[in-house]
Amino acid sequence: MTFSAAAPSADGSAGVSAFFPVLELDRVSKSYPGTPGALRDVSLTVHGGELIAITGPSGSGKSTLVHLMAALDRPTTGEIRITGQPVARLGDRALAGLRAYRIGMVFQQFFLMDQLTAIENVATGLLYRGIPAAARRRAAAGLLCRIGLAHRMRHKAGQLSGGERQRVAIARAVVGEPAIVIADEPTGNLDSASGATVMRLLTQLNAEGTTVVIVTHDPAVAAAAHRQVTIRDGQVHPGTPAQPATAEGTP
Amino acid sequence: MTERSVFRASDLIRSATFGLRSRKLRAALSAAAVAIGIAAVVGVLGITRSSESALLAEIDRTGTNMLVVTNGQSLSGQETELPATAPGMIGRTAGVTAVAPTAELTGYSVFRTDKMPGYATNGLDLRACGPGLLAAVGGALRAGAFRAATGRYPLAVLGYQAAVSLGIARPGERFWAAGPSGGGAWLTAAGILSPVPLAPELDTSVLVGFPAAAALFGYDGHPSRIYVRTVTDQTAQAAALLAPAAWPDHPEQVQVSQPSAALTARLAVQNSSTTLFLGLGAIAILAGGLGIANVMVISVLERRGEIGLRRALGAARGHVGAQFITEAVLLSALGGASGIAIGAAVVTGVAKAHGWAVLLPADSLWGSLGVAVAVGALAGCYPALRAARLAPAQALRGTG
Repeated sequence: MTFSAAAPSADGSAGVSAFFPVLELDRVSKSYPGTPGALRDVSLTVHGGELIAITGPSGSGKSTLVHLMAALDRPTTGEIRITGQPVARLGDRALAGLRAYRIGMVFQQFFLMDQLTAIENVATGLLYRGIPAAARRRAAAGLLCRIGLAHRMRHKAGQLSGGERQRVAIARAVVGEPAIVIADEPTGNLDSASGATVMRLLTQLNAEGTTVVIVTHDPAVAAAAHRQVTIRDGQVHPGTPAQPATAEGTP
Repeated sequence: MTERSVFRASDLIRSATFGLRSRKLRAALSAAAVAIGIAAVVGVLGITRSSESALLAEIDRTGTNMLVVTNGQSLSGQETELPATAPGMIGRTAGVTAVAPTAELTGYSVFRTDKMPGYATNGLDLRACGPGLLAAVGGALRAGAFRAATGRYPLAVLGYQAAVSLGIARPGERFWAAGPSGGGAWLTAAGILSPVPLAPELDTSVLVGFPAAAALFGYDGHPSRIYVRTVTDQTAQAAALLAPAAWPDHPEQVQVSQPSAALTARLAVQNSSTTLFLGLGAIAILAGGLGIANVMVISVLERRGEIGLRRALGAARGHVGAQFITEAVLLSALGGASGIAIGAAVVTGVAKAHGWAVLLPADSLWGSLGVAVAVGALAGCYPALRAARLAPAQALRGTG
């Protein structure tokens, strides 16, 4: 288990530094009546600077876990804290603020707006922060140059290859320098070569200080992580010890 | 520590127009119904107002202060006599500014030649008048002179319709005034009148001066129809005084009327039919609103992925709702604006064809735009609520 030496930048991640918990799940349960994928009593802590992989077969509750981690849903019981903020006590606007400032999401099916250019898609990562459009574009352009997509910047998302699309989606997730990036099967719709470039980008970003959680069923992808957590039938698998949340003593 | 999600107004507009621009044909079709409704309303209001303006201008020009005094006991449409003293008495009544007596010379007909049989009629009257008539009725000459024809010479001024019937296009032509007992006299046209809106009976009359009427046709000095002008704000009071003044012994036999009332009545009739058309336009706008609501509901279902993404990017429920309501309002406003343009074009075309002044009441234009926006907002309410209520996890899964 090796943590990146580089501390996350203070800006955006709002004082979260390496080794402090960014995301804490404390005995969390979530069930959807009549559908599989319920979670039972899951405890999990993600520290700043970590690259963690959550693996498990389909129907194991991975998607549910993703939505809870990304503050898109609230648990039935248990507590979730994102950068120390208990999700349960936040109203819709504050929860949305948490997603806008602290969380970046990457989806298996990219969710890019095909009619917009790569740069415009990346800029939407800052859409709900009240930043003027010109400043959003500047940040997006700078990031695309940094990750080697400068030449595709003005292409419509619909014209990009799958690997490029996912890299643009990753750029959208990290353009606001969130405390944590949650990638849900980021290579699931890609061939192995494109999947490899996407993984290289995620590990590169992690090396630069971004905290990354990758949810995948692909062992090869999971192997790139510092730490693996397996989930099966809605529970963290006993074979891979997940660190329990330390509710007290966290900033 | 508590950053709140913010969606700038400019970004809201941009996001909403983006939603419309990516589905252009659908946007155009759903806006079309509102456009048709608004075009109908603007068109009806504009055409009514433009045609009213012609009528109002006529009323303005002719004035509402004219009164007509006749003997109410007329027989078979023929005017009967008033006392010879009536014009003088009326002239001394408070509020009266001008008096112009006329007398229908009963039994006389007017023809182009003297070869017509005695029993023939053509609906034209011979009428005696004084020099002040033209000013009192607000009439105008098409050709020739008026005052010269009111003396003792056998000259006459023809009403517009009378000139058409007789086929007399210019002054100087002679025609025959046939008497009841076979006699008659040749008259020479001295002038031709334009139509007189407030005294349409003059249009079918041939006018001769009192002295000539007395000399040629045995006129006895009794007027049968007296045109009276009053001070405008004393018209009603003067009207009440005219009957006793005209005929102190039998005021009940005297009829006083206000010809401009007929013109104002025409305005009222137009306004009532306008209401009907406006109702139809309103129904079209309502149907347009339902269409927009329908399209927006479908749009919410299709764009679950986009909604989920926006929530993941940090949109609050209200932000998603606002985006869909703004889309509906923009759609409806777009329809409203094109409807106004179409309506204005129709009004311009119709007004030009009729020779009216083009009048588009500004309040109706702003009103229509306001109605379109309100319809859009109403239509967008339910779809926006659905979009806002969509659970983000469910929205993301829905397309996955």
